Amino acid sequence: MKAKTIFHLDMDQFFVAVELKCLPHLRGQPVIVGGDPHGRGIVTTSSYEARRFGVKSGMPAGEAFRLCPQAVFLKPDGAKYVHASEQVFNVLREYTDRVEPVSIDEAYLDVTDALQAAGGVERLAYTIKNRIKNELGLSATIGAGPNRLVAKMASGMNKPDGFTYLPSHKIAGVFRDLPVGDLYGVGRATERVLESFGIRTIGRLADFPAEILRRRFGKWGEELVHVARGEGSDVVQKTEERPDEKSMGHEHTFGADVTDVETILGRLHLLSERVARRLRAAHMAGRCVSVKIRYHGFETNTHEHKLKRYIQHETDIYPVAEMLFRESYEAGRPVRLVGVQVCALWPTARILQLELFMAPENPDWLAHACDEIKDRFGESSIGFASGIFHAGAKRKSAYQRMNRPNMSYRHPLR
Amino acid sequence: MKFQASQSSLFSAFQTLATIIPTKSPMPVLMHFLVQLTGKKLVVTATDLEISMETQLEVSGEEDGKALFPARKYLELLRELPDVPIHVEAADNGRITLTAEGKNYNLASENVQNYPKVPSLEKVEPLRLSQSQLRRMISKCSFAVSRDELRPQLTGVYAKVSAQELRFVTTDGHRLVKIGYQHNGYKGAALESIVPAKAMQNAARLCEREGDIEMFFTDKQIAFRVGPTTMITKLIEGRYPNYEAVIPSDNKNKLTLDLDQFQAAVRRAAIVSNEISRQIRLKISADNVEILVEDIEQGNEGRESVSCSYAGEPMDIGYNAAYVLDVLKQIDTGEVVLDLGTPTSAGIVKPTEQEEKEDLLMLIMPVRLN
Repeated sequence: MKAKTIFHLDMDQFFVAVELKCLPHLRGQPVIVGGDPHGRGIVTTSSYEARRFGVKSGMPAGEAFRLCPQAVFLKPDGAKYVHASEQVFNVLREYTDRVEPVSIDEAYLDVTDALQAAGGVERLAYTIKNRIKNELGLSATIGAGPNRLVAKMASGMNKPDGFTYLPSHKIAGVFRDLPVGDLYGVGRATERVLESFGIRTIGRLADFPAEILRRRFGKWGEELVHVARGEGSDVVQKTEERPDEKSMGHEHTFGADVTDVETILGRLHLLSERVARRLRAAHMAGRCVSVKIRYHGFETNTHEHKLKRYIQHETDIYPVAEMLFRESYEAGRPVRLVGVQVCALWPTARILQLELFMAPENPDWLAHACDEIKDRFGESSIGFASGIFHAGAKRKSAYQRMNRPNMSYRHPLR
Repeated sequence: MKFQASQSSLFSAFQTLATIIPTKSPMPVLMHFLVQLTGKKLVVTATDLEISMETQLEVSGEEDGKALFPARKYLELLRELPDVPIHVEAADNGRITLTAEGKNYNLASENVQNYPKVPSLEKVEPLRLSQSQLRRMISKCSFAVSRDELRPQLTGVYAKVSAQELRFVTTDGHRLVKIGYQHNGYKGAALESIVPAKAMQNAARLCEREGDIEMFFTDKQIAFRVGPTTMITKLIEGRYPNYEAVIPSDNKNKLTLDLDQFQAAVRRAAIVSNEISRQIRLKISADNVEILVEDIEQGNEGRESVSCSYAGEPMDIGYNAAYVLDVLKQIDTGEVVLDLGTPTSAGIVKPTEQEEKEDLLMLIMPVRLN
């Protein structure tokens, strides 16, 4: 079989980069996209300038503020990132239909068939990088290799705005002296165990008897040796080949723990609306609803309810979410996070039974009308009153957002 | 409390109420009969908080009183006892003793004070109907009741009473039944309500004999009374969907089929249909209906023809076979009439001739042909 060439594309500081397009005067400054530095949110993305101060993705925003008080904190604007991400993926799909998104800003591409026309691996990589830069004003790092693993490792070697190509014959040489902790899938715990075997480099791991690791780690031990040798899957699936999405959900972490049932229900209503909107956009419906409650102290409970028919509207999702919440909530306990998920999904095109009742008995009409309004005027333009009033959601009109884009809690010292 | 009565009279009275007793309940007290004795009159009550039923029987009373009888054990014991006089005694400590010809059983029970308050019959002008007619109406419409707990209104039977007519409507959003009956007169208030399906099922069970049943309609409850037995049910709150708006008035394509032939053909096609969609396809032309079925997943297919008389445009229409069979089962005439509109709109299904004073109409929604 013909050897493949796989790209791993990773957008550089994606959320920050998208924000900087609108706020160019912040270029060169530490910028952090994430939660309120005086509340309890986390850092979603930070600019390279902020990372120099030790700010990392996933750390509490408060800690980031202590490390880098001069940073500009921006509230995430999901719709903006989704739009930018779609534009990036549209560029990628011009070169190959085998584009597999890993997340909003990361994807694998099988470019094997595109190489000849593009004039080689390096040319193709730079063509893609330059188009993303020139047309979208964003920068990307690409790693290339014979399989997904090597491509992923390569993209991590030269960030930001980099390109690294590891053809098969170079893998062993490059991997040999790298610390074993750099290997994809090796975390702190595994690293410590490997060290106890005297394995500090990837090269040492590649030559290590698989049988010994198998006894210690089970099947994963054997796999580790393959990973260290740069062996892995080279299959990148087309969109239509991937198994259908099995569930769709949204979660919300409260700024401060909440015990008020109405507030929590209001939030569940908002989350149900969002899930419903995504379901409709994907033309999916589900027959199972689950609600997640995380209490103060991180104890997390999930409850689900199976239904007799497929649903995709908030008017159907929310009553189940409310019932599940009321059944399982331990009254008075402070809640940190709630989530709503619809699972057991099925494409609506395959639901052929026609319905007798239309609006107002059938929620289809209302939901689609709301979707159209949101498409034109923004996510906060219309919604259920309970979602707006009880969730205490900081909703802004499109006018407000236009005039003060997303700068709601810039640090007062700046 | 002390009384004596024959096994058969006790068993048949308590048995009538057994379907009301919940099999599982967070309130164990509901899994008991409430038994009250005043002189010779023994009143037995059961409730699940939504529906309550009460019956009376004559016993030879010895000492008035009030007690709870554990429903399942008591009823099973009664069933197994021979038809001889049984002496029943409820002690002040709540224990129930059954004695009959040297057999002695002692059952633990709950405190009668814990039993919930049971609604009483509101005396309004009743509607009188023959038991057989009510049973018939309930059995015709029950299949279309929805089991979707998210649409509680559809899980009940819509009941509308007026000076001339009693009407029941049921629908699950895919099928609909409307059955009306011109009764002999009703002087009470015209009312609309949604009756829980379980209550309707129990009402049908009460209608096992000759004679009439009385129905008492108020805006909070509906009561049914047959002889010494009264059932009172709470109503489902909310508004029933506007069913009249979905009954088509201009379905111009009229299809008449022999019921037995059509039913048998659909039953066969149903066997071969896809287990999830149950889809069948009807190709309707002037004098015959071709029934086609295909299950791509299993690789099964079939076709057959049934003669018909059809006045309308040739049509290709899909249905869920199980829905078609449900509807056909309600037809009592030798032929069935389908008034069809388009392949994506509701079709009307009716008998060729209505029973006297009755008006039965069913709707069935097609499936989109893929």
